[in-house]
Amino acid sequence: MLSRRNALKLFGLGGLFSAGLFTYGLATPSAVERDAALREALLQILANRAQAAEVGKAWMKQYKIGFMPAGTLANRLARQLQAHGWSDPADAAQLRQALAGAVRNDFLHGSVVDVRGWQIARTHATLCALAHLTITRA
Amino acid sequence: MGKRPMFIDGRGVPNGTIIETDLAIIGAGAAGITLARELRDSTYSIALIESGGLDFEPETQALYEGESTGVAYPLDSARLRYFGGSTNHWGGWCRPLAAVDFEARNWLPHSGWPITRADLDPYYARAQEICQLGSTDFDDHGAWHQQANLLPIDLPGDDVITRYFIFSSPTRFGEVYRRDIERAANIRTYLHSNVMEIVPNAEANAVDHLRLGTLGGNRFQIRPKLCILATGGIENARLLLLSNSVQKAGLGNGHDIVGRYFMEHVHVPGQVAYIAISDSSLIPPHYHDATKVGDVSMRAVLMLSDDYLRREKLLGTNMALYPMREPVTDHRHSMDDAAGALEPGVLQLLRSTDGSIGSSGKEMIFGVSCATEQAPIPANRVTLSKRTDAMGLHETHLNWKPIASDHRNLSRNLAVVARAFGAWGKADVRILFSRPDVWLDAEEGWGCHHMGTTRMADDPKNGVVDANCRVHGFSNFYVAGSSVFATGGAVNPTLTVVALATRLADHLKSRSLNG
Repeated sequence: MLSRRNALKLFGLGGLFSAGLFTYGLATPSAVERDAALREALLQILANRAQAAEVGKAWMKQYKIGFMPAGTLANRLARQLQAHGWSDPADAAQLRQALAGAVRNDFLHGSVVDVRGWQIARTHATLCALAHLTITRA
Repeated sequence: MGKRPMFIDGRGVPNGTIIETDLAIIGAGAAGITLARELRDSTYSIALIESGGLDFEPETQALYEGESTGVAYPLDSARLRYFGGSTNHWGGWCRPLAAVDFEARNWLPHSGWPITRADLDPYYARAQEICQLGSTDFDDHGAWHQQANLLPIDLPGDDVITRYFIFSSPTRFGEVYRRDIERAANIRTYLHSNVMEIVPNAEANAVDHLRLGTLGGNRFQIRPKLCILATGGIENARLLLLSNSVQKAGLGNGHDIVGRYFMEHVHVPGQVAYIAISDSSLIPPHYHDATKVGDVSMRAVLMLSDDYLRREKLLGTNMALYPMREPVTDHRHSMDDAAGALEPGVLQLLRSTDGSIGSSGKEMIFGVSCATEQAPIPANRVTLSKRTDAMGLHETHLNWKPIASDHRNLSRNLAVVARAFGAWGKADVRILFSRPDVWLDAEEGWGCHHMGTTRMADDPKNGVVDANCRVHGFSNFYVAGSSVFATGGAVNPTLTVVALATRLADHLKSRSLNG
């Protein structure tokens, strides 16, 4: 679960989360903190990040996806999930529901990646890549 | 009619004997026995001719030996040569071809039957009885729900659908229908009697006589007014090609089509895909194996809808699912291959949307096995080998290999199944094919379904037989069996073979002996 402290960080930054205005590049301490909090908010849904990270690592390697700042990926993913109803970063159930909607939408529209034969929704692959980049960075 | 033996051993027929009959049926397998049985007690006198005896005999079976190129194909073990034919070892899987299978599909060269599924529907109903299925609920979810509370997997969309195979016991035609054949006053069955040539008249527009022989050297003739060739999807072509004393290219082969367009159902050995599922009970037991519902044995499979196949310009596949093993839970302790090492991560993804923290204990890896339709191409063909068998006849040479488009077709069908499971939200799919467009040796398998070598078409330039299974250019000569299939669909052929045989029997009842 996302800690109350981190959730408050997200909410406390001028309501930027709900406005969908996360961007990377605001080189202020608060932006860095906010990125970290966002990553935590997204990755809270994975009980075992290391296992999901293996999928992300394999995807990035197979598709020759170069280094990407974790914050960029987190913001991209957050925007996607907001479109599927994620508005409260502390609400894991809401996040699961939004993720399920995004994944379903990916499969229905063919937005699928092949990772060593596994047919994975692009949103899921992005979440795995975020886990990989976060772990690597840590 | 006096009391005469109904089963006659050809080895006891005196050399040089000439036997007159109204109708000769060459081959006592699913098609031949069905035809004889449907015409029992008709006005026709019938000679049912079988190469083997009532049981398996290695010397007769050896007449099926031959050569293959492309895939190393087991010509001698893929079929059986004695009374009952290959129904002596079939698995009993039954399902009709789909409507789309009969259509001329503009994306599939050489497709299109001159008959439709609707034309065959009444005969499928009769074939169901002959194959002793006990049900025709091949597509009816409601029927299975009502009878046994069985429900289909509710995958989203209309592309991937649940359909049902119904199993024959399996009916061994030679055992189950032997008494019917024996008791019929108008049928004489000649065992151990090999047709060596179907000899036409000088104009080559009618069968004149059949030249027969036994392994011991007896030679005799049968002179039929009508003749049906029903020796199976490979042997039908071989016998036509061997019958070349008048028409040098073989009977019915004026357009060089006999033997071409051989098709199989490509069965990839082992699995073509894995399904990682969050709860194994979501794929219910009637998908796993044959399931008894009253006296009926059925199994649910996944197939592609006709609309999907038309829209995507693809050929059909049927996919059977079965629980294979519990998933690997720790990538550090896995696994046989790199893709398997991702399995714990994939399960994390499934849990990410259903809220599970750890394994529920219900997660399962299902295997997917499949049979897929193959495009009819002229180069896949039966010809005559230079080698000869114990009767002095040229053996079969089969050149058969699945082609790249067959592979692409199957890959795309698996991909749409993966999308359906993914959108369902409870499973992810791993496709096991390793290279696009290339069939690896390990991926080449077959179902012992031999189709297409005397294909049906209205135009003699495109086929060997017409819509009534009559050989083009002949007044009294017919072919029965899966060799007349213009395309093969994605399901086992026996039910359709029997349906076509009952239809041919009706046609023969309605025609006169003289054309």
